[in-house]
Amino acid sequence: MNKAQKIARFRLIVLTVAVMAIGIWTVVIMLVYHQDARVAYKVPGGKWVFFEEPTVYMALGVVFAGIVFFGLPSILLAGLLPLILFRAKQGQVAFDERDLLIDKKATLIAYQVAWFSLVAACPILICIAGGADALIPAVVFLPAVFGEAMVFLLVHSIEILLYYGGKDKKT
Amino acid sequence: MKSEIRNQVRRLRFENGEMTQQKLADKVGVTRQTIIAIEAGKYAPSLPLAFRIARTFTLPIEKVFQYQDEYPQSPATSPDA
Repeated sequence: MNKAQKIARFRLIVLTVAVMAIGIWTVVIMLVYHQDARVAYKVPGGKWVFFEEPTVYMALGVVFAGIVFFGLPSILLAGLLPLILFRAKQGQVAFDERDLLIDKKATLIAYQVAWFSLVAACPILICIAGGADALIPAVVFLPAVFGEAMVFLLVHSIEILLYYGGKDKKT
Repeated sequence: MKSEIRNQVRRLRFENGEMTQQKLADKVGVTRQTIIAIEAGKYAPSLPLAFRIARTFTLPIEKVFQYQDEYPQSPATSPDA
């Protein structure tokens, strides 16, 4: 396993833990502080109502807070720690033209996925703000940026591991 | 799909005193994984790297790497002609 694979594996582990932490955080906060929140309930007349608006907003707010609390440390950890942990030994070739080619391909795909996921997330941000003519609260932007950074690093790591594992036989 | 570039790197390593992949990698300035990928035909090296590998074996580049053409070369364009 070379340096690029080790870094990708490390990033994948850190970010997976962060995503799981955000999930657990959301469930715990919703259970503890929003016990009256309902995902689905029956209204008189036998009709079911799913995902009541306040519940969805509350959950999204908790997720966004989770992204800030767990996402930022995970991005810093995944981005900076490998520079210290996986330093090349003196005189050893750690990164060559093939690694560069794989890194470029993975970066391109990760950028595309992060960009499209941001576009897909925009309607959610508009919903939270309350409509197209409403002002989007600044507090929404920070989790959006951190969330995109997490998506980028996750996809980048997965792509690198896939390429080295033989995804593209021409690399 | 495998690379269209065939190579004799593995054979040449063994003919040159059973040179290890790591030793060849160190000589040409790449990682061992890249040599493995080249030998397996999964990676077509850049022209400078191909030249460095050929020079390590003191052979012309076409003796180490061959392009698998769909159409056979005409005698007029063949380097051997």
